[in-house]
Amino acid sequence: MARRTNLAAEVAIGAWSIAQGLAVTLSNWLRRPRVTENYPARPAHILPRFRGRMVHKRDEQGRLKCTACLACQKACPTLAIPLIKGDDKKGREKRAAAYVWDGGRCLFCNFCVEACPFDAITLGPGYSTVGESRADTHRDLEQLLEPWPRPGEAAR
Amino acid sequence: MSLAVGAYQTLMTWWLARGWFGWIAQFIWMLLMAAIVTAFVLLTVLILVWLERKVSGDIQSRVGPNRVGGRFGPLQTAADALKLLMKEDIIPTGADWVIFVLAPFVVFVPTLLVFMVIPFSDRWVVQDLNLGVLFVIAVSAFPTIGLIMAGWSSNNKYAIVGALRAAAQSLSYEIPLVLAMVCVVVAAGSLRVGDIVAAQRGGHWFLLRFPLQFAFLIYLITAMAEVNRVPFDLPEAESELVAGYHCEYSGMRFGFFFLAEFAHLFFVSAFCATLFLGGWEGPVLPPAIWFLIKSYAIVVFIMWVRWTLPRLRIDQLMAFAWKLLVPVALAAVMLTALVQLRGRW
Repeated sequence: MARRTNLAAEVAIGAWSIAQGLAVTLSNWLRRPRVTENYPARPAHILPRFRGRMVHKRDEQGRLKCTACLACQKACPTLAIPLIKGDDKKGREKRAAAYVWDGGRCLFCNFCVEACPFDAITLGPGYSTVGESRADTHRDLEQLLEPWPRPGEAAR
Repeated sequence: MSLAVGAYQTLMTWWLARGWFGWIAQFIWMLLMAAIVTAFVLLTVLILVWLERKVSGDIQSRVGPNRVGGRFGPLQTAADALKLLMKEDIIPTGADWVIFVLAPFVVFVPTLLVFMVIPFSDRWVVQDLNLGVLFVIAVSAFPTIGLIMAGWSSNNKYAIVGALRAAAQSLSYEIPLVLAMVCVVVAAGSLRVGDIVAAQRGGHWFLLRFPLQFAFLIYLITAMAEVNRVPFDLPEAESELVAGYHCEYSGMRFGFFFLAEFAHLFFVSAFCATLFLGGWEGPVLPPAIWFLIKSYAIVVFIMWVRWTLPRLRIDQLMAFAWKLLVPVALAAVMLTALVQLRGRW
Protein backbone atom coordinates (compact mmCIF):
# COMPACT_ATOMS: atom_id res chain seq x y z
CA MET A 1 0.00 0.00 0.00
CA ALA A 2 1.24 3.46 -0.84
CA ARG A 3 2.20 5.55 2.14
CA ARG A 4 -0.37 8.25 2.83
CA THR A 5 1.16 11.63 3.35
CA ASN A 6 -2.01 13.65 3.60
CA LEU A 7 -2.36 14.11 7.35
CA ALA A 8 -5.87 15.51 7.25
CA ALA A 9 -7.13 12.60 5.19
CA GLU A 10 -5.42 10.17 7.51
CA VAL A 11 -7.02 11.73 10.56
CA ALA A 12 -10.44 11.73 8.90
CA ILE A 13 -10.13 8.07 7.87
CA GLY A 14 -8.92 7.17 11.36
CA ALA A 15 -11.81 8.98 13.03
CA TRP A 16 -14.31 7.30 10.71
CA SER A 17 -12.90 3.83 11.43
CA ILE A 18 -13.01 4.52 15.18
CA ALA A 19 -16.65 5.54 14.83
CA GLN A 20 -17.36 2.32 12.95
CA GLY A 21 -15.66 0.32 15.67
CA LEU A 22 -17.69 2.05 18.36
CA ALA A 23 -20.88 1.29 16.42
CA VAL A 24 -19.96 -2.41 16.27
CA THR A 25 -19.37 -2.62 20.02
CA LEU A 26 -22.54 -0.65 20.68
CA SER A 27 -24.60 -3.07 18.62
CA ASN A 28 -23.14 -5.95 20.65
CA TRP A 29 -23.77 -4.01 23.84
CA LEU A 30 -27.48 -3.72 23.06
CA ARG A 31 -27.87 -7.29 21.81
CA ARG A 32 -30.27 -9.55 23.68
CA PRO A 33 -30.16 -12.33 24.60
CA ARG A 34 -26.54 -12.79 25.52
CA VAL A 35 -24.46 -15.69 24.26
CA THR A 36 -23.54 -16.80 27.76
CA GLU A 37 -25.96 -19.22 29.43
CA ASN A 38 -26.60 -19.15 33.14
CA TYR A 39 -26.01 -22.89 33.29
CA PRO A 40 -26.27 -24.30 36.81
CA ALA A 41 -29.11 -21.93 37.63
CA ARG A 42 -31.02 -22.82 34.48
CA PRO A 43 -30.84 -25.95 32.28
CA ALA A 44 -28.39 -25.65 29.42
CA HIS A 45 -29.60 -25.23 25.87
CA ILE A 46 -28.67 -28.44 24.02
CA LEU A 47 -28.42 -28.74 20.26
CA PRO A 48 -30.33 -31.64 18.64
CA ARG A 49 -27.27 -33.67 17.60
CA PHE A 50 -25.43 -33.21 20.89
CA ARG A 51 -23.62 -36.38 22.00
CA GLY A 52 -23.60 -36.76 25.76
CA ARG A 53 -24.52 -39.50 28.20
CA MET A 54 -25.00 -43.01 26.78
CA VAL A 55 -28.56 -44.17 26.11
CA HIS A 56 -29.72 -47.79 25.72
CA LYS A 57 -32.40 -48.02 23.06
CA ARG A 58 -35.52 -50.17 23.06
CA ASP A 59 -37.19 -52.01 20.22
CA GLU A 60 -40.82 -51.58 19.09
CA GLN A 61 -42.16 -53.64 22.00
CA GLY A 62 -40.15 -51.63 24.49
CA ARG A 63 -37.69 -54.43 25.07
CA LEU A 64 -33.98 -53.81 25.66
CA LYS A 65 -32.00 -54.15 22.43
CA CYS A 66 -28.64 -54.88 24.01
CA THR A 67 -27.60 -58.55 23.89
CA ALA A 68 -24.47 -58.23 26.01
CA CYS A 69 -22.21 -59.18 23.11
CA LEU A 70 -19.34 -57.11 24.55
CA ALA A 71 -18.54 -55.45 21.18
CA CYS A 72 -18.81 -52.00 22.76
CA GLN A 73 -16.56 -52.98 25.63
CA LYS A 74 -13.88 -54.19 23.21
CA ALA A 75 -14.17 -51.04 21.12
CA CYS A 76 -13.90 -48.66 24.05
CA PRO A 77 -10.46 -46.96 24.11
CA THR A 78 -10.70 -45.80 27.73
CA LEU A 79 -12.38 -48.80 29.38
CA ALA A 80 -15.38 -46.68 30.15
CA ILE A 81 -17.69 -49.73 30.08
CA PRO A 82 -16.42 -51.76 33.02
CA LEU A 83 -19.30 -54.24 33.34
CA ILE A 84 -21.62 -56.05 30.93
CA LYS A 85 -23.50 -59.14 32.04
CA GLY A 86 -25.95 -61.23 30.06
CA ASP A 87 -28.98 -63.02 31.58
CA ASP A 88 -27.82 -66.65 31.19
CA LYS A 89 -31.10 -68.03 29.87
CA LYS A 90 -30.52 -71.08 27.62
CA GLY A 91 -32.43 -71.41 24.37
CA ARG A 92 -33.92 -67.92 24.37
CA GLU A 93 -32.89 -64.53 23.15
CA LYS A 94 -30.03 -63.21 25.21
CA ARG A 95 -30.45 -59.79 26.82
CA ALA A 96 -28.18 -57.64 29.01
CA ALA A 97 -28.90 -57.94 32.71
CA ALA A 98 -26.31 -55.50 33.96
CA TYR A 99 -24.39 -52.75 32.22
CA VAL A 100 -22.26 -49.97 33.70
CA TRP A 101 -21.11 -46.86 31.87
CA ASP A 102 -18.41 -44.78 33.54
CA GLY A 103 -19.09 -41.09 32.80
CA GLY A 104 -15.77 -40.11 34.31
CA ARG A 105 -13.82 -42.06 31.69
CA CYS A 106 -15.99 -41.74 28.61
CA LEU A 107 -14.54 -39.63 25.80
CA PHE A 108 -17.82 -39.48 23.86
CA CYS A 109 -15.84 -40.80 20.87
CA ASN A 110 -18.81 -42.78 19.52
CA PHE A 111 -16.69 -45.95 18.93
CA CYS A 112 -19.08 -48.07 21.02
CA VAL A 113 -22.04 -46.84 19.02
CA GLU A 114 -20.28 -47.73 15.77
CA ALA A 115 -19.21 -51.12 17.10
CA CYS A 116 -22.68 -52.17 18.22
CA PRO A 117 -24.09 -54.78 15.77
CA PHE A 118 -27.67 -54.32 17.02
CA ASP A 119 -27.83 -50.51 16.99
CA ALA A 120 -28.63 -50.77 20.68
CA ILE A 121 -26.75 -47.84 22.12
CA THR A 122 -26.34 -44.19 21.25
CA LEU A 123 -24.94 -41.05 22.85
CA GLY A 124 -27.87 -38.93 23.95
CA PRO A 125 -28.57 -35.38 25.06
CA GLY A 126 -27.79 -35.92 28.77
CA TYR A 127 -24.88 -33.66 29.75
CA SER A 128 -24.53 -33.71 33.51
CA THR A 129 -22.40 -36.55 34.85
CA VAL A 130 -20.81 -34.70 37.75
CA GLY A 131 -20.72 -36.08 41.28
CA GLU A 132 -18.79 -35.99 44.51
CA SER A 133 -16.96 -39.26 43.94
CA ARG A 134 -15.92 -41.42 41.01
CA ALA A 135 -18.75 -43.80 41.73
CA ASP A 136 -21.19 -40.91 41.27
CA THR A 137 -20.23 -40.65 37.62
CA HIS A 138 -21.21 -44.27 36.92
CA ARG A 139 -24.59 -45.05 35.40
CA ASP A 140 -26.20 -48.50 35.48
CA LEU A 141 -28.61 -50.09 33.04
CA GLU A 142 -31.70 -48.65 34.67
CA GLN A 143 -30.41 -45.11 34.35
CA LEU A 144 -29.12 -45.62 30.81
CA LEU A 145 -32.33 -47.10 29.41
CA GLU A 146 -34.34 -44.70 27.31
CA PRO A 147 -37.72 -43.80 28.84
CA TRP A 148 -40.76 -45.81 27.77
CA PRO A 149 -43.08 -44.88 26.24
CA ARG A 150 -40.86 -42.42 24.44
CA PRO A 151 -41.73 -38.83 25.39
CA GLY A 152 -43.76 -37.26 22.61
CA GLU A 153 -45.15 -40.62 21.41
CA ALA A 154 -48.57 -41.77 22.57
CA ALA A 155 -48.60 -44.96 24.65
CA ARG A 156 -49.76 -47.91 22.53
CA MET B 1 15.67 22.21 53.64
CA SER B 2 13.96 25.35 52.49
CA LEU B 3 10.81 23.28 52.02
CA ALA B 4 10.91 22.24 55.69
CA VAL B 5 11.48 25.83 56.79
CA GLY B 6 8.62 27.01 54.62
CA ALA B 7 6.29 24.34 56.00
CA TYR B 8 7.31 25.25 59.56
CA GLN B 9 6.69 28.96 58.97
CA THR B 10 3.31 28.25 57.36
CA LEU B 11 2.23 26.08 60.28
CA MET B 12 3.42 28.69 62.81
CA THR B 13 1.59 31.60 61.17
CA TRP B 14 -1.51 29.45 60.85
CA TRP B 15 -1.34 28.54 64.53
CA LEU B 16 -0.61 32.11 65.68
CA ALA B 17 -3.50 33.46 63.64
CA ARG B 18 -6.04 31.10 65.15
CA GLY B 19 -4.74 30.13 68.56
CA TRP B 20 -4.67 26.61 69.96
CA PHE B 21 -8.37 25.97 69.91
CA GLY B 22 -9.00 27.27 66.40
CA TRP B 23 -6.01 25.39 65.09
CA ILE B 24 -7.13 22.06 66.52
CA ALA B 25 -10.74 22.64 65.47
CA GLN B 26 -9.70 23.36 61.91
CA PHE B 27 -7.35 20.42 61.91
CA ILE B 28 -10.13 18.05 62.97
CA TRP B 29 -12.45 19.62 60.39
CA MET B 30 -9.90 19.01 57.64
CA LEU B 31 -9.36 15.41 58.74
CA LEU B 32 -13.11 14.92 58.57
CA MET B 33 -13.28 16.36 55.06
CA ALA B 34 -10.36 14.19 53.98
CA ALA B 35 -12.11 11.13 55.41
CA ILE B 36 -15.32 11.96 53.54
CA VAL B 37 -13.51 12.48 50.23
CA THR B 38 -11.46 9.30 50.71
CA ALA B 39 -14.60 7.32 51.49
CA PHE B 40 -16.30 8.75 48.43
CA VAL B 41 -13.35 7.89 46.20
CA LEU B 42 -13.08 4.34 47.55
CA LEU B 43 -16.80 3.78 47.08
CA THR B 44 -16.58 5.18 43.56
CA VAL B 45 -13.69 2.87 42.74
CA LEU B 46 -15.71 -0.11 43.95
CA ILE B 47 -18.56 0.92 41.68
CA LEU B 48 -16.27 1.66 38.74
CA VAL B 49 -14.53 -1.71 38.83
CA TRP B 50 -17.91 -3.41 38.89
CA LEU B 51 -19.12 -1.15 36.07
CA GLU B 52 -16.02 -1.87 34.01
CA ARG B 53 -16.64 -5.61 34.26
CA LYS B 54 -20.33 -5.20 33.50
CA VAL B 55 -19.66 -2.97 30.48
CA SER B 56 -16.98 -5.29 29.11
CA GLY B 57 -19.32 -8.22 29.59
CA ASP B 58 -22.11 -6.43 27.78
CA ILE B 59 -19.90 -5.43 24.88
CA GLN B 60 -18.60 -8.97 24.47
CA SER B 61 -22.08 -10.52 24.72
CA ARG B 62 -21.19 -12.01 28.08
CA VAL B 63 -22.97 -11.50 31.38
CA GLY B 64 -20.25 -10.20 33.68
CA PRO B 65 -20.39 -10.67 37.45
CA ASN B 66 -23.78 -12.14 38.36
CA ARG B 67 -23.39 -14.14 41.55
CA VAL B 68 -21.88 -12.20 44.45
CA GLY B 69 -24.51 -10.26 46.36
CA GLY B 70 -27.48 -10.73 44.08
CA ARG B 71 -28.42 -11.00 40.45
CA PHE B 72 -26.08 -8.30 39.12
CA GLY B 73 -23.11 -9.14 41.33
CA PRO B 74 -22.82 -5.74 43.07
CA LEU B 75 -20.52 -7.09 45.78
CA GLN B 76 -18.03 -8.63 43.34
CA THR B 77 -15.49 -5.82 43.81
CA ALA B 78 -15.83 -5.97 47.58
CA ALA B 79 -15.04 -9.69 47.43
CA ASP B 80 -12.04 -8.97 45.18
CA ALA B 81 -10.76 -6.30 47.56
CA LEU B 82 -11.11 -8.70 50.48
CA LYS B 83 -9.13 -11.28 48.53
CA LEU B 84 -6.37 -8.74 47.82
CA LEU B 85 -6.20 -7.83 51.51
CA MET B 86 -5.74 -11.45 52.52
CA LYS B 87 -3.03 -12.19 49.96
CA GLU B 88 0.57 -12.66 50.96
CA ASP B 89 2.63 -9.48 50.79
CA ILE B 90 5.70 -10.26 48.71
CA ILE B 91 8.73 -8.00 48.38
CA PRO B 92 11.17 -9.50 45.85
CA THR B 93 14.66 -10.30 47.10
CA GLY B 94 16.39 -7.98 44.64
CA ALA B 95 13.99 -5.11 45.19
CA ASP B 96 14.94 -1.76 46.64
CA TRP B 97 12.41 -2.22 49.40
CA VAL B 98 12.09 1.34 50.74
CA ILE B 99 11.15 2.70 47.33
CA PHE B 100 9.17 -0.44 46.58
CA VAL B 101 7.01 0.10 49.66
CA LEU B 102 6.65 3.86 49.09
CA ALA B 103 5.71 3.74 45.40
CA PRO B 104 2.02 2.71 45.73
CA PHE B 105 1.38 5.63 48.06
CA VAL B 106 3.19 8.12 45.87
CA VAL B 107 0.83 7.02 43.12
CA PHE B 108 -2.31 6.90 45.23
CA VAL B 109 -2.09 10.04 47.38
CA PRO B 110 -1.92 12.62 44.53
CA THR B 111 -4.86 10.99 42.75
CA LEU B 112 -6.80 11.41 45.98
CA LEU B 113 -5.50 14.95 46.49
CA VAL B 114 -6.84 16.34 43.22
CA PHE B 115 -10.41 15.63 44.35
CA MET B 116 -9.91 18.60 46.68
CA VAL B 117 -10.83 21.17 44.01
CA ILE B 118 -13.68 19.28 42.36
CA PRO B 119 -17.05 20.93 43.06
CA PHE B 120 -19.36 17.99 43.72
CA SER B 121 -22.31 20.32 44.13
CA ASP B 122 -22.99 24.05 44.38
CA ARG B 123 -21.59 24.10 47.92
CA TRP B 124 -19.77 20.80 48.23
CA VAL B 125 -16.15 21.54 47.47
CA VAL B 126 -13.34 20.88 49.90
CA GLN B 127 -11.23 23.89 48.96
CA ASP B 128 -11.96 26.02 45.91
CA LEU B 129 -8.40 27.21 45.32
CA ASN B 130 -7.60 30.39 43.38
CA LEU B 131 -5.34 28.38 41.14
CA GLY B 132 -7.48 25.24 41.08
CA VAL B 133 -6.64 24.21 37.52
CA LEU B 134 -2.95 24.79 38.09
CA PHE B 135 -3.16 22.72 41.26
CA VAL B 136 -4.73 19.88 39.30
CA ILE B 137 -2.06 20.06 36.60
CA ALA B 138 0.74 20.11 39.16
CA VAL B 139 -0.54 17.38 41.43
CA SER B 140 -1.71 14.99 38.73
CA ALA B 141 1.84 14.96 37.33
CA PHE B 142 3.02 13.40 40.59
CA PRO B 143 1.91 9.77 40.07
CA THR B 144 4.43 9.45 37.22
CA ILE B 145 7.20 9.63 39.81
CA GLY B 146 5.50 6.83 41.71
CA LEU B 147 5.32 4.72 38.57
CA ILE B 148 9.03 5.19 37.92
CA MET B 149 9.75 4.35 41.56
CA ALA B 150 7.70 1.18 41.26
CA GLY B 151 9.33 0.12 38.01
CA TRP B 152 12.86 0.90 39.14
CA SER B 153 12.66 -0.64 42.60
CA SER B 154 11.06 -3.88 41.38
CA ASN B 155 14.37 -4.92 39.79
CA ASN B 156 12.48 -6.43 36.89
CA LYS B 157 13.00 -5.74 33.20
CA TYR B 158 9.30 -5.65 32.38
CA ALA B 159 8.61 -3.29 35.26
CA ILE B 160 11.33 -0.84 34.25
CA VAL B 161 10.25 -0.87 30.60
CA GLY B 162 6.67 -0.23 31.71
CA ALA B 163 7.75 2.58 33.99
CA LEU B 164 9.83 4.25 31.27
CA ARG B 165 6.93 4.00 28.87
CA ALA B 166 4.64 5.47 31.52
CA ALA B 167 7.02 8.39 32.03
CA ALA B 168 7.39 9.08 28.32
CA GLN B 169 3.65 8.82 27.75
CA SER B 170 2.67 10.97 30.71
CA LEU B 171 5.14 13.69 29.75
CA SER B 172 4.04 13.70 26.12
CA TYR B 173 0.33 13.71 26.78
CA GLU B 174 0.44 16.15 29.69
CA ILE B 175 1.26 18.98 27.27
CA PRO B 176 -1.86 18.75 25.07
CA LEU B 177 -3.90 18.04 28.21
CA VAL B 178 -2.68 21.23 29.83
CA LEU B 179 -3.26 23.17 26.61
CA ALA B 180 -6.83 21.86 26.46
CA MET B 181 -7.33 23.06 30.03
CA VAL B 182 -5.81 26.41 29.07
CA CYS B 183 -8.48 26.79 26.39
CA VAL B 184 -11.14 26.48 29.08
CA VAL B 185 -9.26 28.83 31.38
CA VAL B 186 -9.06 31.41 28.59
CA ALA B 187 -12.77 31.07 27.90
CA ALA B 188 -13.74 31.29 31.56
CA GLY B 189 -11.18 33.95 32.42
CA SER B 190 -10.24 32.27 35.69
CA LEU B 191 -8.14 29.44 37.06
CA ARG B 192 -10.61 28.87 39.90
CA VAL B 193 -12.73 25.77 39.23
CA GLY B 194 -15.74 27.40 40.86
CA ASP B 195 -15.52 30.33 38.41
CA ILE B 196 -15.26 27.93 35.47
CA VAL B 197 -18.50 26.27 36.54
CA ALA B 198 -20.10 29.66 37.17
CA ALA B 199 -19.16 30.78 33.65
CA GLN B 200 -21.23 27.89 32.27
CA ARG B 201 -24.40 28.67 34.26
CA GLY B 202 -27.71 28.54 32.45
CA GLY B 203 -26.82 25.75 30.04
CA HIS B 204 -23.95 27.65 28.36
CA TRP B 205 -21.72 24.64 28.46
CA PHE B 206 -18.20 25.12 27.17
CA LEU B 207 -18.74 22.07 25.00
CA LEU B 208 -21.29 24.11 23.03
CA ARG B 209 -19.15 27.21 22.63
CA PHE B 210 -17.42 27.27 19.26
CA PRO B 211 -13.68 26.65 19.48
CA LEU B 212 -13.83 24.62 22.68
CA GLN B 213 -15.00 21.44 20.96
CA PHE B 214 -11.39 20.96 19.87
CA ALA B 215 -10.28 21.36 23.45
CA PHE B 216 -12.90 18.82 24.54
CA LEU B 217 -11.71 16.24 22.01
CA ILE B 218 -8.08 16.78 22.93
CA TYR B 219 -8.91 16.58 26.62
CA LEU B 220 -10.79 13.32 26.15
CA ILE B 221 -7.99 11.69 24.12
CA THR B 222 -5.20 12.82 26.41
CA ALA B 223 -7.22 11.93 29.49
CA MET B 224 -7.43 8.34 28.25
CA ALA B 225 -3.68 8.41 27.77
CA GLU B 226 -3.13 9.92 31.23
CA VAL B 227 -5.02 7.14 32.97
CA ASN B 228 -3.13 4.52 30.92
CA ARG B 229 -6.21 2.92 29.42
CA VAL B 230 -6.59 1.14 26.10
CA PRO B 231 -5.78 2.33 23.41
CA PHE B 232 -2.97 4.01 25.36
CA ASP B 233 -2.23 1.25 27.88
CA LEU B 234 1.38 0.74 26.84
CA PRO B 235 2.82 1.09 30.37
CA GLU B 236 0.89 -1.98 31.46
CA ALA B 237 0.53 -3.79 28.16
CA GLU B 238 -0.29 -7.27 29.36
CA SER B 239 0.69 -9.10 26.21
CA GLU B 240 4.12 -7.47 26.09
CA LEU B 241 5.09 -6.52 29.64
CA VAL B 242 3.20 -8.97 31.90
CA ALA B 243 1.66 -6.12 33.90
CA GLY B 244 4.15 -3.30 33.38
CA TYR B 245 5.36 -1.29 36.35
CA HIS B 246 3.31 -3.19 38.93
CA CYS B 247 4.12 -6.75 37.86
CA GLU B 248 6.15 -7.48 41.02
CA TYR B 249 3.45 -6.17 43.33
CA SER B 250 1.00 -8.38 45.15
CA GLY B 251 -1.79 -8.11 47.66
CA MET B 252 -2.88 -4.69 48.79
CA ARG B 253 0.19 -2.93 47.36
CA PHE B 254 -1.06 -3.97 43.94
CA GLY B 255 -4.52 -2.99 45.16
CA PHE B 256 -3.31 0.57 45.69
CA PHE B 257 -2.14 0.83 42.09
CA PHE B 258 -5.49 -0.50 41.00
CA LEU B 259 -7.31 1.94 43.27
CA ALA B 260 -5.24 4.83 41.98
CA GLU B 261 -5.93 3.88 38.39
CA PHE B 262 -9.69 3.87 38.83
CA ALA B 263 -9.68 6.92 41.10
CA HIS B 264 -7.74 8.75 38.42
CA LEU B 265 -10.22 7.56 35.80
CA PHE B 266 -13.07 9.00 37.82
CA PHE B 267 -11.18 12.22 38.48
CA VAL B 268 -10.45 12.73 34.81
CA SER B 269 -14.13 12.18 33.95
CA ALA B 270 -15.37 14.39 36.76
CA PHE B 271 -12.97 17.15 35.76
CA CYS B 272 -14.06 16.81 32.14
CA ALA B 273 -17.68 17.19 33.27
CA THR B 274 -16.69 20.24 35.30
CA LEU B 275 -14.70 21.92 32.54
CA PHE B 276 -16.89 21.20 29.55
CA LEU B 277 -20.31 19.94 30.64
CA GLY B 278 -21.26 22.58 33.19
CA GLY B 279 -20.24 20.68 36.31
CA TRP B 280 -23.03 20.21 38.84
CA GLU B 281 -25.47 22.45 37.00
CA GLY B 282 -28.71 21.01 35.66
CA PRO B 283 -32.48 21.24 35.92
CA VAL B 284 -34.88 19.54 38.37
CA LEU B 285 -32.49 17.03 39.96
CA PRO B 286 -30.17 18.07 42.81
CA PRO B 287 -26.75 19.37 41.68
CA ALA B 288 -24.77 16.48 43.16
CA ILE B 289 -26.86 14.02 41.14
CA TRP B 290 -26.22 15.98 37.95
CA PHE B 291 -22.51 15.97 38.70
CA LEU B 292 -22.55 12.19 39.10
CA ILE B 293 -24.64 11.65 35.95
CA LYS B 294 -22.24 13.69 33.81
CA SER B 295 -19.13 12.11 35.31
CA TYR B 296 -20.43 8.59 34.89
CA ALA B 297 -21.49 9.28 31.31
CA ILE B 298 -17.88 10.13 30.47
CA VAL B 299 -16.60 7.15 32.45
CA VAL B 300 -18.85 4.83 30.48
CA PHE B 301 -17.73 6.43 27.22
CA ILE B 302 -14.06 5.87 28.12
CA MET B 303 -14.85 2.24 28.99
CA TRP B 304 -16.69 1.86 25.70
CA VAL B 305 -13.61 3.10 23.83
CA ARG B 306 -11.44 0.76 25.86
CA TRP B 307 -13.37 -2.31 24.85
CA THR B 308 -13.46 -1.23 21.22
CA LEU B 309 -9.96 -0.20 20.16
CA PRO B 310 -6.69 -2.13 20.06
CA ARG B 311 -3.48 -0.86 21.63
CA LEU B 312 -1.24 1.63 19.80
CA ARG B 313 2.40 0.99 19.03
CA ILE B 314 4.89 3.12 21.01
CA ASP B 315 6.08 5.08 17.94
CA GLN B 316 2.48 5.69 16.86
CA LEU B 317 1.72 6.88 20.37
CA MET B 318 4.58 9.37 20.41
CA ALA B 319 3.97 10.56 16.84
CA PHE B 320 0.31 11.09 17.62
CA ALA B 321 1.10 13.20 20.67
CA TRP B 322 3.89 15.34 19.25
CA LYS B 323 3.01 15.63 15.58
CA LEU B 324 -0.75 15.97 15.88
CA LEU B 325 -2.08 16.71 19.35
CA VAL B 326 0.40 19.37 20.43
CA PRO B 327 0.10 21.53 17.27
CA VAL B 328 -3.68 21.16 17.20
CA ALA B 329 -3.89 22.03 20.90
CA LEU B 330 -1.71 25.12 20.37
CA ALA B 331 -3.90 26.18 17.47
CA ALA B 332 -6.98 25.61 19.62
CA VAL B 333 -5.58 27.83 22.36
CA MET B 334 -4.87 30.61 19.87
CA LEU B 335 -8.30 30.24 18.28
CA THR B 336 -9.99 30.36 21.68
CA ALA B 337 -8.03 33.45 22.64
CA LEU B 338 -8.92 35.13 19.35
CA VAL B 339 -12.62 34.40 19.75
CA GLN B 340 -12.42 35.58 23.33
CA LEU B 341 -10.76 38.85 22.31
CA ARG B 342 -13.25 39.65 19.57
CA GLY B 343 -16.14 38.61 21.78
CA ARG B 344 -17.78 36.65 18.97
CA TRP B 345 -16.83 34.32 16.12
